[in-house]
Amino acid sequence: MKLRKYFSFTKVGLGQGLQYRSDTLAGIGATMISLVLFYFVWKAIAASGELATPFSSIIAYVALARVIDNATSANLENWIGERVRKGTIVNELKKPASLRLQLYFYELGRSLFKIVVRGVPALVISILFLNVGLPTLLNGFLFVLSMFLTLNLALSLSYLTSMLVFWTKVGWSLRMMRTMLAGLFSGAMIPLYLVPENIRNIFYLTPFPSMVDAPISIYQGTAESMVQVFGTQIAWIILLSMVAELLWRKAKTKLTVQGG
Amino acid sequence: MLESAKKHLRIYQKFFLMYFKTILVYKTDFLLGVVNQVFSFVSSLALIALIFTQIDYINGWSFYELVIVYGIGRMVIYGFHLFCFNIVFLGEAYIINGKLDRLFLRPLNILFQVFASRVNFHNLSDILASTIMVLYASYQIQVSVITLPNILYLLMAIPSAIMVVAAVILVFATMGFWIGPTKSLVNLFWKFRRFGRFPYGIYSLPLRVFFVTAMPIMFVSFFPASFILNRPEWVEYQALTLFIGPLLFLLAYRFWLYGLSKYSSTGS
Repeated sequence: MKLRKYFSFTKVGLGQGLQYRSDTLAGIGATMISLVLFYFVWKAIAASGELATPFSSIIAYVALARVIDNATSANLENWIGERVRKGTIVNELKKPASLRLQLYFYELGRSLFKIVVRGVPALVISILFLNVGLPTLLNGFLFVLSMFLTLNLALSLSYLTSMLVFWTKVGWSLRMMRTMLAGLFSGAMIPLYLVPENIRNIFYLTPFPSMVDAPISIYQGTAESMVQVFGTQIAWIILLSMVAELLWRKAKTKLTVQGG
Repeated sequence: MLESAKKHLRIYQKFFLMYFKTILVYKTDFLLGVVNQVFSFVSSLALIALIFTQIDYINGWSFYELVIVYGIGRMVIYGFHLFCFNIVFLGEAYIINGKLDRLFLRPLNILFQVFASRVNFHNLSDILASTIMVLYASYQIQVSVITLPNILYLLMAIPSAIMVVAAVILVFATMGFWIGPTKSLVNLFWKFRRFGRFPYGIYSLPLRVFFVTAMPIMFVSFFPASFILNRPEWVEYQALTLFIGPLLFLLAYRFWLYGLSKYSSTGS
């Protein structure tokens, strides 16, 4: 199937946001509210002791983290989980289009919609009220690039976890575990520079910091080496995609053996 | 009235056993649920611990005190999960997909049927783990949880708090009669609840009002915990915790009955 035809899936993904209006509104609400609540939580934390940086820097990081985390959340596990459980996953395989590419372009659409309705307003508010500040023109452009990579990384990760659904048959619990792990390790819940160094180094062994901490470092210009940041993001995308592909092949053989 | 209650209790037993047998069949689901909860337990504790590597108190509350707040909150939430989880699905599975219609056919209270049709056994381990965690944390700071006033208080406060959660979810679910899928609203509640792990005092006044009215999460963990941690500054709220559950649930139940009457009258 031609690449251009896959963009129709992107259109469908974009349309989902407009169709499921209560979901969209709840998503925007959740993003804004989490900004406000995280503000108070970190304000109280910063007031309680001598942190590495003043509150204004912390809240800038936290705000950016919320914007990025909320705008790039991918959820393929439920979609695949439902179809594995009902057995309709075989129908998807019968289609002449690659399931993987279908899902990718579809989620791309959904994520773009989320970035526009959730990410952009939240970013504007953060810049105006939460000391986020504007990046240099170059950093801003590189940030957009990094966000695109983050999106792909989030998709690859979600896709990888979704492959496990073929064995567990349930999507939601895997998704919850992935979200919790990612939230903690990526910088979405606590700025990584506040985490003790030995623990932080363990975090950096995982793909998660590349999803939130990395784009923040590009935006704020705090990255030691932009090349390294981008390189790490790309490396993880490739690695996760390869593992997902391996699992997918195993899952396919499993399905056909069961007479799918 | 008493006869009806006895009948419902007997039937609940049957539902209970029936559901118990299904988990023996769907073992993977059960195990996965347990793994999931262990995960959430550990990652939430890890977050608090990481924050406390940098500071010693948040708004005057120490690490172990906040662990106790977290633990009590978990006991309430998993108590809700244990007995009432099915109402989370009221919007999608029951109202929209029509499963509700079947329940009309039986001579039983409809909401009761929804509650009874699902008992999340895998949450028993969570409640146990949370209790152990609360006991351990209280031991660390030399606060004795196991006193008669505390036990009496918790025996009333925790069921009341469970009813608070059930009331909120029921209201969201009932809105499903009018606005369709309400899963995202319910998820909003879980997202908000996370912030009930932090002291009430850190929030601005409008937020404080919000957290004791529209989203009464503070009754779920903070105020009950403040009682056993001997925090007299919240004594009115600690008392209120005992009554707010039944009160809110009654209101939510009225709303549910209203929605139900509208639903059946549209001739489905």
